[in-house]
Amino acid sequence: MTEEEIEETEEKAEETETEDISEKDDSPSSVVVGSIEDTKSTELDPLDLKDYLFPKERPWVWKSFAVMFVLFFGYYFIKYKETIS
Amino acid sequence: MVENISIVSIILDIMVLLFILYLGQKKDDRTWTQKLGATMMCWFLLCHLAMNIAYGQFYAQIFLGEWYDTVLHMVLETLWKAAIVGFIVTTLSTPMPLFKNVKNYKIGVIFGLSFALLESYYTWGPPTGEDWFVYFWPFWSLAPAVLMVMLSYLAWNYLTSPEGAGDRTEALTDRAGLFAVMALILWGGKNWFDWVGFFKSSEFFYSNGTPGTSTLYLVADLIGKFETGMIVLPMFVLSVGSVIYLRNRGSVLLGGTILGFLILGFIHFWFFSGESQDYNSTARFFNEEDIRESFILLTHGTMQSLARPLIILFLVVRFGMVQTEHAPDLSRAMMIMSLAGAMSVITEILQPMLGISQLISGFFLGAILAFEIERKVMKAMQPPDDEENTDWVLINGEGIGLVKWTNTAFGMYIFATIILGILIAKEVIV
Repeated sequence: MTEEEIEETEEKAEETETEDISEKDDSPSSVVVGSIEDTKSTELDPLDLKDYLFPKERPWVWKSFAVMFVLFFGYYFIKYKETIS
Repeated sequence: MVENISIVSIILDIMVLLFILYLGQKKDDRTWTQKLGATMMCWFLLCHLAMNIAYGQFYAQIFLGEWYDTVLHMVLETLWKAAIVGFIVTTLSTPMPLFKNVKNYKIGVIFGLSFALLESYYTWGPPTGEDWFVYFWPFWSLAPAVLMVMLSYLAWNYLTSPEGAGDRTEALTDRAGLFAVMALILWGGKNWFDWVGFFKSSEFFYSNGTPGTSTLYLVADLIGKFETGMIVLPMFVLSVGSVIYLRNRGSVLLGGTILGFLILGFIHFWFFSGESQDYNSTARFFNEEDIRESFILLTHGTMQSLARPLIILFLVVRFGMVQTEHAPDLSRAMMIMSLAGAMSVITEILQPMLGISQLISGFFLGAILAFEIERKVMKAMQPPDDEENTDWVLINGEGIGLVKWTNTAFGMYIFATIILGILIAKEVIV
């Protein structure tokens, strides 16, 4: 291998290395790293209370509970008012 | 022959308390919500133990009519309030904190404990001598009622969930719901046997005050009735929910247990007058030849005395508040003693009803040991391996610090009450 060929080979190797480094520093990689961190921090945060306590798939849960609550205490209050009056 | 059961409850309270304290000291991967839950359960057990000793087993030996009686009564009430706040805190943080900002949490706890201290001043201090004074507990009645609303909703959300742990949210909902169901049984269970006659008994509609005399009477009555209602409402919510749960998931254990409360409550109300046996009564001698008295003790009495420490034991193991692998032999012994103690009391109470001797409890204990039932029970209580256990992140603070802060706040609150009690009892504050 001549000196010129060796230089060319070294230049190519440097270019390849530079490409690898640039790929490593490229935005897609950082997006991946960022998304892992984001996912981690999101998983450690408490869930949104609205989704947690009032599930979208079952909107009738809080409504049915409210109906039971109102009916129960409504009856109780009426009877109570009758008694004290 | 006469019996009392509060001594078994005292022993169970002490055993479970020491069990949690011992395992709680071990270094492991428990999250801050689990550590917070463990310490809050200790506060409850301390309160339950004190109530059993003071108002139950040793009432005559403790309350001698001296000045310190006032301090003791105040401290016992204070422990109840700490237990209530402790359960509110645990409900707000198990398995996921319903708050994100530590600052808001601290403001809430400080407000609650300060209001509770002010209530002690009102109930025992100089206001009692005023003409306008009305004897009632605004905090002690409101706080458990609010707790029961929260627990009832979490339990309803869980019991009516059709698919179970389908996704992350549903899995957390299920865990919160299971905690809520057990907490509801712990707090309200004993009264469900007595108050099935809610819609029949006139006492629920009786006014404690004189209408029109003062607005404070009306406020006191409304708060008292709200508390009464919130002990009865969860029974109906859980009963309806358990039917849906049985239909959706076919799990007989939980649904059957809840419906069992309702059925026993109806029997209690219709056939056995619906009377209750509380701390003082479970420590008092009773006529074990009487089926009615035995039934009352079997329902309200056992729920108040035996079931509470056992439910706490279930909660701390099931929700990973302590890890039993640190001391497998101790954990096994804990289970055997709990089962044997409960079995002995229940067979004793069943004696006049079924005509069986209490001696049969020895055979049950033999069966527990022979078939290693305690190992199966302990294994069933463990949290599932694939269950999510997140160390949740908070704003303006971190979890472990919050655990220490909460316990310090409880300690300071009790210390402040003791000082206040001494000042009131010694008539320094007039």
